[in-house]
Amino acid sequence: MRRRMVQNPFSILFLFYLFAFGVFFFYSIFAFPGYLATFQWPFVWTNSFLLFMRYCIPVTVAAVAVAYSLLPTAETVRMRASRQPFARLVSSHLTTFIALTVLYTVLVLGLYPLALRNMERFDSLTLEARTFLGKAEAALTEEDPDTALLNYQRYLAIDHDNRKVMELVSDLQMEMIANRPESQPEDREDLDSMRIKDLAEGKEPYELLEMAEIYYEREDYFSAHYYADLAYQLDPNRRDARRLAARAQEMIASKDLSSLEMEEKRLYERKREGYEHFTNEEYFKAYRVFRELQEGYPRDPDVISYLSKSEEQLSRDTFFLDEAEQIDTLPGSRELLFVNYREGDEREIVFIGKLAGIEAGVFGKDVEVLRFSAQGLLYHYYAPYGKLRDGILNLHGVDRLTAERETLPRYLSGATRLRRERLPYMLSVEPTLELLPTLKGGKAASASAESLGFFALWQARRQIGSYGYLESYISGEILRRLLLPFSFLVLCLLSVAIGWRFQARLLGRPHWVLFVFMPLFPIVAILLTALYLHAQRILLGFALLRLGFSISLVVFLVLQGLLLLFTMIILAGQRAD
Amino acid sequence: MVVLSETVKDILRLPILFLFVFILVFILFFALSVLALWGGVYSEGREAALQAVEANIPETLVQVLPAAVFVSLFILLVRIAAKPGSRFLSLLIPLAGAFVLLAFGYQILQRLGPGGEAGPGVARPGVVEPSSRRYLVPGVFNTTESKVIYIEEIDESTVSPVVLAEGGSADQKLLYFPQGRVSVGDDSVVVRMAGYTLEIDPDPVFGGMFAEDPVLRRFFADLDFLKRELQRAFRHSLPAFYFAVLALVIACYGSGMFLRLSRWHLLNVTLALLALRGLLALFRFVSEGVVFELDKVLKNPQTLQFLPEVALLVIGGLLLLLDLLFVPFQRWEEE
Repeated sequence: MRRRMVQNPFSILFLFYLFAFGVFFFYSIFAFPGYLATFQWPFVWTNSFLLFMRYCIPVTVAAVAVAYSLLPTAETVRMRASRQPFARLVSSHLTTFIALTVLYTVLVLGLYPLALRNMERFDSLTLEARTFLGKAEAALTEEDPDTALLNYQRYLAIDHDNRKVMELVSDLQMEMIANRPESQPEDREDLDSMRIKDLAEGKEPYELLEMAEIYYEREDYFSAHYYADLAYQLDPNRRDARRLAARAQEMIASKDLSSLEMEEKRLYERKREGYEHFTNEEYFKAYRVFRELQEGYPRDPDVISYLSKSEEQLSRDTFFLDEAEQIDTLPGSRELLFVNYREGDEREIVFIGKLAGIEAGVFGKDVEVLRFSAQGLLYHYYAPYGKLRDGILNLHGVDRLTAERETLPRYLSGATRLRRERLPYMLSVEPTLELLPTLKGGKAASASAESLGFFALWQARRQIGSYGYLESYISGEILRRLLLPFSFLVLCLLSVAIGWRFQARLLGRPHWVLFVFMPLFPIVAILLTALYLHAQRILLGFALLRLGFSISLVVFLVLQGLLLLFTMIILAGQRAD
Repeated sequence: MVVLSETVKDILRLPILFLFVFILVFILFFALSVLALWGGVYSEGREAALQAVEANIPETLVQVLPAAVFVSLFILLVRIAAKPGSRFLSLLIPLAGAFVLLAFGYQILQRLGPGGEAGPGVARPGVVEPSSRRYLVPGVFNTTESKVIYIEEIDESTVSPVVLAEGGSADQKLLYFPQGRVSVGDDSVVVRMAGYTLEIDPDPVFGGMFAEDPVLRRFFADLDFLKRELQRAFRHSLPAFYFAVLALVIACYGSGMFLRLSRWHLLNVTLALLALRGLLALFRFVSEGVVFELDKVLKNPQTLQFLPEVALLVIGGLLLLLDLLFVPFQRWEEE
């Protein structure tokens, strides 16, 4: 068994990988940094993967060197007899090394940034969850069960399986139900038959008038008045419409209305009120009227139509806070900082605490904007939430249910300038949505860029300089990542040669005691590979700053080509003895 | 006759090989150090960067010399283990060669720098004063440990206007200052604004691109410590410096014992490299840890100042003795 293992160097490589991952897994269990308990095992797996990838090159180098240094003597003797070059022995393994390099490339360029983002997610969600918990506990002490419940529920949206909080929520809900005053059951009549059956949508005034006449003939004076009035409002020259509306009004007034008819009258008046708000561009008021009507008349086509229309209009000027608040419990890009506007001597700096997308759109949290010129500070404001749409960040949030709650930019300094703007609550965001996640907290150093995907980095490179970041760091990070797969292959081949050069001259099979020393090889390999990569980073960093990205990319490719050639020469030059 | 022939070959081969490897390694280390240095001062502008690099060349040469000597010595020891010749010459040539290169090379390179003629025992003046542009760039976000600073314009000592991110309260991350003053010290860069003082570490703007991997940080710190200790010994007196060099060379040579320890050569090389790394760490540990602690206890701490060198000499000597007495010289040729 052992003989077979040493004959095939990839068995040793596999064992090294397995052992390394086991060590990293074990380490990760104890290195759990106090995130929420629900993230413990995802953290352990993610961290093990990250550590494995971080040390993949030294582990591979050590394993390959050990494997080739332990190739059995019998092989050597056989080769010695026929004086075969060593290259022939490894030629069959080259394909596997190239396949391993491809696999490593996919993992290091594709999965590694994803795993890093996962780690950032654990961190940010833990922070958010603890904030909710704190708020809930504070609300409980202030005897505000509604706020406490809301924050506990938000906490549970992140930490789903927290039994303790679930029990707290359950107790709180029971308590709130017990304390609620009993409501009187309302007798509702089926009003569906009485509701206006048609829609005014897209109709010309003459068509509306025709509809009004039909309803008038059917003695449905409410609908007749509604459509005649609509026709008149659309075309004030239509005196016939006005007359019909007046006649219908008279008939309504002359009738002794039943309770059903009274209900219909109230519905009609509310719809009319909502419609007037809508035509006066008071979309929030219109929205609230139609939303209230929707609760009583969920199938009324006018209500449905105008609710949707006013909601659409509303979303252009404002956004709903309940939607924006959903991002509190979601992962997203945190602490975005960028120079948003740069013209003449004016500069605008924007900070967004968190940016995340949900079904309703892309929302930002803790938005802070500061604009200054050579003359001094022009304005500085803070908005708790914003909705990003077509490059515009809308900072006016409204509550879906009550007019008392809305969020607007709060001026920290110099409000006058912004109030003169045509759209005072709209912030034009210069970076594209794709670029925004790369503008993290002013840190363009490779440490923060590590979690960005390779293609995101590549796209960001050209533009990032316009937003207050050093482009060289992004270019350096691109080169650093490209360096890894090349180094993997070069060092793999080099370690084959080293392993063979420092081969064991054992009299028999390797003694088991030798395996005790196995962990020493990766330790030395970590240091040596880090030196190798560091030397190349210095060289490429210099080329990047001195010659620019394109030429440094050429330098990089030439350098890697030379290193590969050099390694192949060493490999081919190894003698069988 | 065969032995004599091998001896003659060794007399010629080993010094040439040692010198050749040393020159290559020295040039490589020096070139990389200069490039990294250039990267660190690049943000000051072309002229200033060139001046700073030029002024630092002698110091860089001195800095890379010990590492180049020890790497060359190790390569030579591997070569001797793989192709052993005369045992006496294999002991003499590497030891003498490393000592000569390090001791005399160090003295020659020391003289190249400003105030270099002052010789041992005299402190050298500083070289080029860094400007604020080495650490802060206008028009971009400059990152410090926990804060981000944006500066629109930087003159030599004034900055204007300044926006500080991550300052203030939770709902006010940005702070605006119309003007500020910046001063560059040895240990920190201080930006003073109205009612706010920001003290940041003097990390060059592009330093991150040339910074070592975290796994190398300790290793480089140990090398840097070794350089400082040699400098300290050199300034103290010439005999003290020779003693320090001798201790280091013997310790490095002693670790070569591991190269012939077993029949598994890869393991031998690995153990030897670990031993070298261990000795470097031990040197720092004894200097900073043991000596520091003993300083508190002993009445005359001056006697301890060469304890690290003595420790290295003893360990190196022991390893050398073990090598001579117990380890077969021609282990690699055994089948």
